[in-house]
Amino acid sequence: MINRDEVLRYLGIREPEQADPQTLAEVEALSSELEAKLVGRWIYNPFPVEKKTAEGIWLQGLSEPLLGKDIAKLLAPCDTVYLMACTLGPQAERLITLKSHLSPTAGLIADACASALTEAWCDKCEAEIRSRAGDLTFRYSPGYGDLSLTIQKAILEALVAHKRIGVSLSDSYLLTPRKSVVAILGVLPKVLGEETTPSAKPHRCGLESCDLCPLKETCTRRR
Amino acid sequence: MSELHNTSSAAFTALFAPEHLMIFDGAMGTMLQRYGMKPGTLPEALNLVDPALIQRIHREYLEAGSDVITTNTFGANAYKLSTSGYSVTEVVTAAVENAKAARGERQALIALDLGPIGKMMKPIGALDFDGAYEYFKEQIVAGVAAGADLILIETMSDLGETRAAVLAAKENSSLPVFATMTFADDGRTLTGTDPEIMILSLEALGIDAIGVNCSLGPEELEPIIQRILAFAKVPVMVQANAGLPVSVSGRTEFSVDAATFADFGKRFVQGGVKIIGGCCGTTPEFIQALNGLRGDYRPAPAAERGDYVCSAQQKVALTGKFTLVGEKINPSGNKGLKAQFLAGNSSAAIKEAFDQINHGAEVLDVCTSLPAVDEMAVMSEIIEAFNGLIEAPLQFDSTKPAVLERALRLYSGVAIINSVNGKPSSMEKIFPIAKKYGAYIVALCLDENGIPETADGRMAVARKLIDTAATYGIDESRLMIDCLVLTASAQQAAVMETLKGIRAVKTTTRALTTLGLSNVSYGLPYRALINRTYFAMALTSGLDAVIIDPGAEGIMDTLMAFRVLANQDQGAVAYIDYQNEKADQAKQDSDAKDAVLAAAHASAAQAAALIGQLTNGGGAAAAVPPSSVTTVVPAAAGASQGAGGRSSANALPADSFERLLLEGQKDVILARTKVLLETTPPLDVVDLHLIPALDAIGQRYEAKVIFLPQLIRAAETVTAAFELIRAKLSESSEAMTSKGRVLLATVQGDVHDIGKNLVKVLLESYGYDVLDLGRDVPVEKVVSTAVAENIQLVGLSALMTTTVSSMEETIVALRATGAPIRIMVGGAVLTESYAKTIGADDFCRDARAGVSVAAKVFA
Repeated sequence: MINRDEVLRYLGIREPEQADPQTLAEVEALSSELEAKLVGRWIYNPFPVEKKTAEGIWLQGLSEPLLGKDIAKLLAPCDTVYLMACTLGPQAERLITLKSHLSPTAGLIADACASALTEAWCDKCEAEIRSRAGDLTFRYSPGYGDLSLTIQKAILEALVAHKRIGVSLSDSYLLTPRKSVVAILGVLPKVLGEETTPSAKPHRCGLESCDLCPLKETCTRRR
Repeated sequence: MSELHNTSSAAFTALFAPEHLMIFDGAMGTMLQRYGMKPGTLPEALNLVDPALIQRIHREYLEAGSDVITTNTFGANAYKLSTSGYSVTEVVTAAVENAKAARGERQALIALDLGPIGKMMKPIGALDFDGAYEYFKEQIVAGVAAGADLILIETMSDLGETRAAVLAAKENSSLPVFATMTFADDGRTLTGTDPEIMILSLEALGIDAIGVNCSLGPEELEPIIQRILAFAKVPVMVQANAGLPVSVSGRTEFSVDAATFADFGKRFVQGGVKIIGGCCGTTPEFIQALNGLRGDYRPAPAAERGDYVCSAQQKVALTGKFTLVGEKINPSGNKGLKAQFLAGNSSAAIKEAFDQINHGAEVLDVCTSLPAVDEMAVMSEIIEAFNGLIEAPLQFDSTKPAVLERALRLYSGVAIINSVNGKPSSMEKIFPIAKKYGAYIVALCLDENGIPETADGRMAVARKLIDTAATYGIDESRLMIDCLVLTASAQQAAVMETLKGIRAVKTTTRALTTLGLSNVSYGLPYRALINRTYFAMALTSGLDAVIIDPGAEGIMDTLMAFRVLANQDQGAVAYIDYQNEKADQAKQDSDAKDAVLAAAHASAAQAAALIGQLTNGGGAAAAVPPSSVTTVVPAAAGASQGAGGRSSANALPADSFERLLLEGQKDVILARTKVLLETTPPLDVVDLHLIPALDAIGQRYEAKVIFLPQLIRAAETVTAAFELIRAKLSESSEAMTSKGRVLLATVQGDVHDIGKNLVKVLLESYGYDVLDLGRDVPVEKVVSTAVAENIQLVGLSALMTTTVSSMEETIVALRATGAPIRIMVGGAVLTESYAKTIGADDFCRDARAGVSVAAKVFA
């Protein structure tokens, strides 16, 4: 499940050929171990769109609006938006911490593997949503672009995430357990008779430009 | 049916009577939504804002047949109410008042409803036991004062948090306490606790009823309910959801109707579930349907089960099998542990725990007694560090009752106390603690008259221990009698008496037997032979448990062989597997040793060839031994040197330190260091060989020829060589002078620490001392430690846009002290310019940059 190349990118190795044999072996071993031991959990619900402006999107059932120019643009064509949360659970953190105590290198690599595994579980969840709802926008998370992290609180409440999959938010808006993702997917309306061309956005997060993004200097997703 | 542990009213006694099915209510949230509550409203605030609505809902449940209504206080704790403008006392009092008003004169009970706090417990979150306890205590004090009849702790998924709530209830009220946890469909809570472990841990604290609620509908809960009924000694409680939630236009709806709910309910109560209600999605209609099941209730007897100890994730049976308790987490005679305890670091203890478990220990003895160390503080740190990480149950080893009590209080599970003895002063201090926390106790057969010489004498002390324990309400099955092992060299005649004592305890009492075995060989040559022979003799005499080093020669061999001979290991299946694993491991170790020795002493060319074999996966050393903690990581099978490409380690001579460090060849490095130390002063080995290799590696990293994993691997590998050098230096009473001390911390509110930990590994590999305050460190702690320890360089880490403000606060506070402190900062969201804006001296783009700053500061 884990994309080994993605793990390498998280470790700062942009091209797989640059990786040394020991690191490749450890990535392989830890990826297999984590895949065998960790199970992701997810929840998602569809939310009807109540109101759209260029500044943000209001959803029925979400106590606060999704504010941001990027998200407003992304969801502009949508009447229904799926909110999802996915987690590897506290077991992931325990495993990483245990590995770190035994070897800092193993801990570093295990952490990267766990991040990639979380993304893989998110992909699975997204695939399930797609099978129910049809075409979807990019999977967009609070913290991307100009969508603040603070909206996570309302999203987690709307999904009853703490009860259902044990995901909550710290005082500093950090998702706990750490290997968790909160995401937004808009349902794209079917337009009969028209070919839908995939947009050629350069970045996976859906942004056209990295200028606004606080992670621009270290983002591993920049192509 | 078990006795109630608390005082109770006449109404409670009637409604909790043995033949009576006790019916709780259904969901509050679902009913509030039905009556138009908007999303984002705080349900608990409605107690004050719309009491009539709350009373109406309570009344509807009472009219539908509820014996007990639960107060609208699920989230009424200080954390969840913090932005509401209401106090916990206000909300809880109003909630109980509403319930009383709705009840009127009916014979019904009011349960104070306590849900989870909403924060995760340490080490994953920031909440610790004492903090959790205070949140619950506040609610309970208010609830009791307002007139609740019992306390319900529900929807819990963390055993530690649940224990804090149960203890808060027991210590701040005399009301009956019920607790239910939430399980996922894999039969565990989200933090890994299964139903049996929940039952063991909470019954140990004296819970009055136990069970499951929420998370799943009745059909999915059925297997879990059956497990609970089969294991619980107290009455069982179930509150299922009305099926699984589905979303319809932004509203959550549930899939099971009242009739179906009651069909399942009927099976549950026929199976012995005594207390039943409904959780999410249920309404008065559901309760009405449950009300029709009163005639179907069949009381079930308390389950028969053996004796177990447990952690929050794992239980270990003490009866029906032998239990090996690992003795090595004990600082006496262990320099590594001593040093770490003094430094407040639990890494060595975790490694020791991991090793012992791999060798076959099922339970771990933990002792933190050391002069100059706060025994209770270190014990608490270890328990916290082990929580969720090390799953083996623990045995707490201390002569101080206060330390034992604190350990049992903090520990999420059922543990063993090591130990009590026959002196009145010991028994009167230890038995009450054991009773309160439901612990097992190692009981030593000695008293104020010393150690009796004969088996009869020891049996007499054992009798005294058993009888006295009974006066505290402790059954003899909770005692693990230690008949005491004396040294064969000094008291040879007494050695067999111990075995006679074990037999006497096993035939005349229901207590268990344990032994701290390695004493017997003290003073004799080839101790391992004496120990394993005595072990076999003790096993034959009926020993139930031993406290020993599981990795010691012959111990696991003896146990595995005994199990075959005693007809326990049917078909010798386990024994054969064990021997096969041992053979594989021995071959690997032997091959690796040969290569290492050759590499250390042979010519460079031979060494290169052998190492080349090792790293190409040619030798048996290619497989990473699963139990090994070393990082001799082989090349990926089939990866040739050439195709490894730009990783220019391949271009280095095979036996160079630089290459060996990059590849993490710990054993080879150690061998080469040993050889060097024969002819070279230790500090020269450091300055002329190790540091230059690290510097070269660092430069390659900066040139982006090698990458972070290799850098860290090198740093980690070199620390092994440093241990060797430190040992050599201490032989001649020298010490490696520290290059300088650096304080590191992840700032308040942030728990990302991998980056910080990498900086630590690198700094230490270069010879700096690191004082690591950990993560989520309050501003005041950074400041006070920096001042008290005369720190010249502080490194701060923050990884989130929301926590850089804590970083700024910390910097401001450090500057305000006026002390000459250089501050470096790091973290993915930081930039050079932002770092300057918040007042830092240095911005570290990566872990290595921290070393450069340290070099400048301590030049």
